[in-house]
Amino acid sequence: ETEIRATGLVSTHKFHTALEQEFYASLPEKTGIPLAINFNPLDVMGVDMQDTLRMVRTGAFDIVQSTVGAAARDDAFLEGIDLIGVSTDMDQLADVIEAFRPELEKRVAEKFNAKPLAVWPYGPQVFYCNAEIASLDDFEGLKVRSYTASMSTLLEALGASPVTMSFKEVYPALQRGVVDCAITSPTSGNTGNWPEVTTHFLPLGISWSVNAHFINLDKWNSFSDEEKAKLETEFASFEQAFWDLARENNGWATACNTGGEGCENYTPFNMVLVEPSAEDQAKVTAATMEKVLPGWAESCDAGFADCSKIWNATVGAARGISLN
Amino acid sequence: MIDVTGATIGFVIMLGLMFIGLHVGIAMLATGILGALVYFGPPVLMSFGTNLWATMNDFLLTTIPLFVLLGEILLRAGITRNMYDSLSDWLSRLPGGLLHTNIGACAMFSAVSGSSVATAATIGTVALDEFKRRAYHEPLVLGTIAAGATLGILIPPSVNLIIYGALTNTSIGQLFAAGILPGLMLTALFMLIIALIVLLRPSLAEPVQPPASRADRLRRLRHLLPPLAIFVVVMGAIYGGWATPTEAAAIGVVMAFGLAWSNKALSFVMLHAAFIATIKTSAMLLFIITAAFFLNFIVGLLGVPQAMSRVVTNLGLSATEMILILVLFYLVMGCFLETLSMMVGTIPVVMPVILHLGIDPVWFGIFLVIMMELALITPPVGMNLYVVQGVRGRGELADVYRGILPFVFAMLVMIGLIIIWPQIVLVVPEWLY
Amino acid sequence: MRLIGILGGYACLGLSFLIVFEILARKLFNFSLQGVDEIGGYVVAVAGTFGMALAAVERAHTRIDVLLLRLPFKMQAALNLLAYVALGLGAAFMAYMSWQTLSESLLFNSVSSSPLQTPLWIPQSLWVAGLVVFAIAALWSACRGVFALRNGLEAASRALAPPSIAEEIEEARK
Ligand code: NA
Ligand code: NA
Repeated sequence: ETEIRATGLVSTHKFHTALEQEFYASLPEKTGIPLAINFNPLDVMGVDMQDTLRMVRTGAFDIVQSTVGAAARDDAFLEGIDLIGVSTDMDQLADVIEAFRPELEKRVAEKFNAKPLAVWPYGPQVFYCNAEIASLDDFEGLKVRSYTASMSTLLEALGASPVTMSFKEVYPALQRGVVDCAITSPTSGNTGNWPEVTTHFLPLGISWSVNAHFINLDKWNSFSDEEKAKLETEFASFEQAFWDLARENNGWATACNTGGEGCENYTPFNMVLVEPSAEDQAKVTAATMEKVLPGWAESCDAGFADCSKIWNATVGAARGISLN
Repeated sequence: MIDVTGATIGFVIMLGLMFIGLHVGIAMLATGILGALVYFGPPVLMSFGTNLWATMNDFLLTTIPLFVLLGEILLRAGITRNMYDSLSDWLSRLPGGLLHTNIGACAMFSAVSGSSVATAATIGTVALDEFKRRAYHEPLVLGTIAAGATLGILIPPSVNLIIYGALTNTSIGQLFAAGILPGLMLTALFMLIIALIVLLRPSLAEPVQPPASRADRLRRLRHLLPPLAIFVVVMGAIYGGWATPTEAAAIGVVMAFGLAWSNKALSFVMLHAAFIATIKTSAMLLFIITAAFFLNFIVGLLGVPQAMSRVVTNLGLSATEMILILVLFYLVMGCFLETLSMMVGTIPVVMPVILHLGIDPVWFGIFLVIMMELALITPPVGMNLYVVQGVRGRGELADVYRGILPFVFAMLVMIGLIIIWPQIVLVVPEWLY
Repeated sequence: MRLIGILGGYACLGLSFLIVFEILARKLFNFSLQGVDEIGGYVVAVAGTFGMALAAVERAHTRIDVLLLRLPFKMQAALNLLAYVALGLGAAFMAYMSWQTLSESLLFNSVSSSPLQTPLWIPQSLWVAGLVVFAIAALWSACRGVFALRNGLEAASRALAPPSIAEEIEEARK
């Protein structure tokens, strides 16, 4: 029997956790490989998402689920897969991920002794506001909770003032007006009851919370080629299930948040739906091109000389943009 | 992964290491390491450093040194004596006289101090000085102080509630809000029981003294302002929306600093003594918290939560039955264990069961803190009993043991009340959130 | 050693003023320093680990003494020594593991994923240093217990015993 220690998403993401639990429970049977899998959601063990790649590297865990943006602490290059404002819908994101995947594979093998088995988005990162807004123009002077450097750059470019705080402080902060807006996915915001303390919902996806399941390379190489092929097949359909979940659930949650048609599986609320306009999209793209990308390229190139070159050849080519 | 037998053996080993006098943090760390090695082998330990960093540099834990510093500055700011006198103007006319002032002063100091031991030492010093000249039944005097001071960890701010919140991912703001009403009710219960005792046995207390003149009483009322102002601003900042709990603690520190300055109590000697005490206490807490987080991690990885939930399901226990079992469990443990160790050592095992049974984690936090208050005053090991006896500096510890019994009874009543009416705990957080 | 407490205290007091400034700036001028929370985390990590050393030499780390105090001096002295050796080894283990984390941060050039973009090696080196001092302090305390043996078992057991209540109250009144 091969022992596998695996971590998954925070268990409050109940659909994802259920998917993971079922997947790991059926994996030995589906692949015919004698696996003893010890799977735990991240919060059960109190592990910080930022540490997951380090943990798979040392072999503390054999398989980890990692939010790429959080792991970017240890490698700015990884953030390149999901930079703010680059992909404006999920089809574009799928193209970007396919283009970037071989480079991601190379990079994490080299740096973290790991291999990505499934790469997928959690969902669009959208705006929940406790302020009257009609478009991005109204963000001037608002306090918005930010959790990455790129996000702060974008918010400042939009005239908002970014404020930092941990996720669990956001709900009371919105309620008490410590911040006016906060950014997360439709599903996370719904399960966190953010619509209780916000009024306006702007489903403009500025990034996608891209996640990946990584396996420790030593563990990976302990499998035969035949076993590897079987595992890859199973993880590919696992990945597909997450993509389907992202499309379907965020649609439900958006409908639920705004009291619209097609609300399923999430708590219904009655937020004002602010439809993002083409001008809003253009504004984000412009801020991305002018402020976010140059800043990211600079810090990424500092740690990894080929960074922008590779990015241009992969993500840039897929989206028709280029870093200088 | 692990069965209940394995988990129980681990728990017994941890208790054993504590009882032979190893440092509590080391006992938990060693148990965690042992579990990791037995069930997984060394690679799991490779994540220890990253866990350690993630725990120690959590902004939430910044709250702890700040609230400790707030209490330490106030302790030395020279407000206690005046506060005590002013309270006695109003409370000492109740049957039981000055005894009520002890409870009131403890409750009031609790509203700015996060620790029960600090409250006992502070109020004990002032109060016992006062009682030297008076004809009260001494055990009862000692009992009021030891029991009243336990309010320090129930009435917000409370270091223990912060640690509970950090370990179980429960909102500190909600926990603080939840502590207010039970804190006031327990204060009232203590006073009620004093009044009853004195009405039945008038010889235990001095007859009620004629009050000071109205003008004097009103003039002295201003001495109650500083602690009240700090409490109102700190809690108001949290619930009024200007600040997170950590930020509110910082506001409290700045206010206490200003208060000490305006009382002319501020000096480098005073400040440095407060600093050293703060860093020592905070580091002691941080060491235990760090060990507890690591133990939590290993316990989660070992599958103890699932194993415990299975057992509870198989036994078919209801939530109320489980809580009654826990009352007994913590009552017994509390006789022998230091309170914080009792809380952090049991949370990894007990919390999964609580969540599994659908018990509100905010309610359970308050329940746990009241059980810890009980542990602080149940013989033979009860920190508040020791502290009060220490401040007294003469006579026998048995006097304190005798004086505390009515208050142990009052706390058991309080536990019963929140079990029957959980809304006592939940109504304030629901109203504020 | 007491200098650790004083410096750590100033750091906490300074942090408090910084946070109050941040709140006022946010409330009155819609302006955020961004990262005060992060700095607070670093202050706790660094002051906390150095503080653990202070707490070790001043015997402030919690122990359960209900059984201990009922044993003969010989046993007490032995168990006290065991406790401090274990504390030293535990601290050394923490220091070694934290060093691993620091060297990973150096290897990856890790930068905090917040607007401040702090190079992690800066706060982490201080943190590792704190844990190293903690380990030394704990082992030094164990040595003190051994030296005290010259004055007999009772003295040796007292040198490492948990502080008496009188000592703790003395501390609180200072
Ligand atoms: Na308190
Ligand atoms: Na006790």
